[in-house]
Amino acid sequence: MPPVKIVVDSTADLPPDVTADLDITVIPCLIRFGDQTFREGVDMSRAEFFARLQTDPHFPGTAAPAPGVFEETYRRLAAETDAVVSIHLSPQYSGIFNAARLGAEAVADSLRVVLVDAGQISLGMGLITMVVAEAARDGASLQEILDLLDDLKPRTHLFATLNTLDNLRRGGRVSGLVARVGNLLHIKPILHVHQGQILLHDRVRSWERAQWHLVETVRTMAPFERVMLIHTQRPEAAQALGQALADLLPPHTYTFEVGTTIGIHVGIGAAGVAFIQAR
Amino acid sequence: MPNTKSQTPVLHARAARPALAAPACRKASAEQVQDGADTSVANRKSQISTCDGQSLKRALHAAGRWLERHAAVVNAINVFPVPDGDTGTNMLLTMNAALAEIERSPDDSVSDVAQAAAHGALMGARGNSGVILSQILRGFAHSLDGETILSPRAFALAAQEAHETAFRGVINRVPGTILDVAREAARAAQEAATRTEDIVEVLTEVVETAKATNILTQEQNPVLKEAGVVDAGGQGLVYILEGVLRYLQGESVEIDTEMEAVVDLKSTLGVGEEGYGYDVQFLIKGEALNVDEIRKTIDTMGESTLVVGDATTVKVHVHVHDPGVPLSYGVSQGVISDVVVENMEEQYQEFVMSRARETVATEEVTNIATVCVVPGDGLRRVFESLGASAIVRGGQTMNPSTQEILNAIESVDAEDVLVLPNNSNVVLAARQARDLSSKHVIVVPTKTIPQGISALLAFNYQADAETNADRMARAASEIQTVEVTRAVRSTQINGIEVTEGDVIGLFNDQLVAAGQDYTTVVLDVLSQVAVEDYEIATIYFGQDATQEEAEALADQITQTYPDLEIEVHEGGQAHYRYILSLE
Repeated sequence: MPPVKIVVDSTADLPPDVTADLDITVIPCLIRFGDQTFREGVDMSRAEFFARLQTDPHFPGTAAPAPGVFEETYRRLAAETDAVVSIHLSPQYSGIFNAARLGAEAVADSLRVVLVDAGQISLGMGLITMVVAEAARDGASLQEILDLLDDLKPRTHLFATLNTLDNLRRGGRVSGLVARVGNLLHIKPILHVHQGQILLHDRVRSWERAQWHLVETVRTMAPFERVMLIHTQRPEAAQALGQALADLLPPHTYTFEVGTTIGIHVGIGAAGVAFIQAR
Repeated sequence: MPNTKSQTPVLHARAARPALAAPACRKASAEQVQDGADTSVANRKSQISTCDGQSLKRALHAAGRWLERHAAVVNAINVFPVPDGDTGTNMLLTMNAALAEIERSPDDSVSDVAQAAAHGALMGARGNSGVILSQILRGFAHSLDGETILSPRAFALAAQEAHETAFRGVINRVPGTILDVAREAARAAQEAATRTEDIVEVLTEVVETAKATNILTQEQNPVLKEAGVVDAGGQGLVYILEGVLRYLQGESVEIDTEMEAVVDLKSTLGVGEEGYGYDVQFLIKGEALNVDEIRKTIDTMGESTLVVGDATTVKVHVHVHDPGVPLSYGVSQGVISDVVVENMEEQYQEFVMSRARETVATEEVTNIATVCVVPGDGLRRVFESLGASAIVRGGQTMNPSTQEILNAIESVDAEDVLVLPNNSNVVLAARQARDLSSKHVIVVPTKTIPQGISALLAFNYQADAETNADRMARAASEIQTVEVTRAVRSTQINGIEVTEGDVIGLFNDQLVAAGQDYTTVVLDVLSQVAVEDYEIATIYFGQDATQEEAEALADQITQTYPDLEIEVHEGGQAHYRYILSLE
């Protein structure tokens, strides 16, 4: 039986060497500055993007890949496999899942595509995708992969402190949450993503104290099976988190940068941790 | 799928095939398709009653251009499901992808054109509305498979399948969206197709129905109702259908005759065809000013131009990307005054966000209320921005009564109520109010305004009342408060001599400094604190101080403690000239 193929959209924020290594197919989301559209990770590097985010007068828009792009990708994979597990951002936050669904329906006669709501964003989703792709590489069956996902999702969390609320506010996707953060004081919100919910975990006024709160919370959730330190253009903050959590980090803890689509919504200078708790 | 629909008898054009018009001038962006030479309908006056592939192609191009003209309006009313103001852009980009594919397709039967449009849209769909549009075109094309002529009956069937396909394309359906417009448009098409063989009559009915249906969306969707707008995606579909109709009727999509309402909306929003820029207004005063000449020149600089006046005074209004251009020109003509330059993008963003503010997303809700005792309007706004459910006015020298606090506890719509007294003299009254209330009330004994702010910040929407009370009390204990005021009597406290009228400084409610001037006393208090342990100082200036004075104080503190980040806010409190927090 041919191996199950893993598909994910670019909001999983996995770097290209990881996705190439684990044979993960990434479908790029779209970034739009004014009239110009870019495919995330294909037409524009992260460095270029973040430089432009700070200088371009247009606040960029983000869009899901078109259903036809999913359809095309699935058709291509149909030549290599009978089953695809396609992991995406929750439909309540984005049209990606729906576009994938339409693409999957179009190929239903030739390929089994199982769509999975990751219940996570960014590298929270990336982490789950990596673990699942390792299992697929090692020959796990479709059912084994789906069981693994059911097992992983409740154990996967993401905590991140945002440096600014502006991007989240302008992105418009979690307006209720934004309203709760408060707009008069320069508050650093700590977000907690778990099981499809983006929660306001804490509101703190200073970055150092926010990171201290974050570390304190994360430490109570140890031990960890996998951890990723994450940031948007702030590697030193991810490094500091790594030091504060050093005694709890499992082997193969990576530091990765959040990509452009999610980066637009969380803004520059965010940092946090994505992890899977040990069973 | 077997196709028998092409045998449906149709009447052919009652007027000659439209004459090919000269290509119209149009802005071409990176995303936009190249205009075919035959897509302009600017000069065409004839009308057709059925539609072959060529006509369908031109009609779709016209639909794209008509949508393009109105994309900014569609963006402006986009508050649902995500208020990010890009529905018009996304529908336009999707439509342009469809049109580009039509241009690439070698064949131009009705069937081929529809297939190409569907494929292009499917590959180029942007955003929710773009995906739905791609599904509309997919259903439309599927139904028209094999057709050579778009008869009223074929159109009606295709519209029906378009709606059904789009309907299946959406997971979370709610009333009052583009899907309602598609459904009613299809119904209108079917009704009309039983009565007439004239495609123009059918489209006329369809457009009327689509417009009327979209107006209803405002009543059907609470988010739209709150924002006072119709559905953006639905409006985009209305423009597409209207563009098709305009083509079939031989009306232009380039020269807009129905722009009055739109212009009005756009000027309200400050959204120009070219995106956002600046709204510039000024007066030119001089002698022998040439109003016509000025109008002509200003007109070349931007849009929404308004130039009125006489030989001595001319009023100029224009939307431009660079406000310097009209202003420099104004200076060359005379003396300019009453200059107003507004950033339209900011206005637009504020407009959209203010409309969307009440949008309740699918997030957690809490049923715990917070009642906060707060002096001054500025501080009231701070507490409200942090989610205080009710505010009781009061503080130093104006302590609220137990009854006032109790009234606030009873007024909030929650059984669990946390009370933040924010003053050591109010804690007792708050506890009495708690004992008198039948609700589950916990007093978090905050003694200063900064403690209250810190406590309220720590409120967690997922935790229960007890957990929150603990979190909040702990957060309050982590903050340091500095208050400065004038002594109301002479005394000696903590070994400090105080004369009536002296400026005194309190650190966490304890008198630690006295002097003649506010800045000196503040710095004196800070010198007794390990300031280097803190990151942020916030200054809330009282009703007797000004923003400038507070900022001057902030500058003084920065000189002594350059690493401390300082924020200045209007507190509006009486009695305390400044309240500072250190965290």
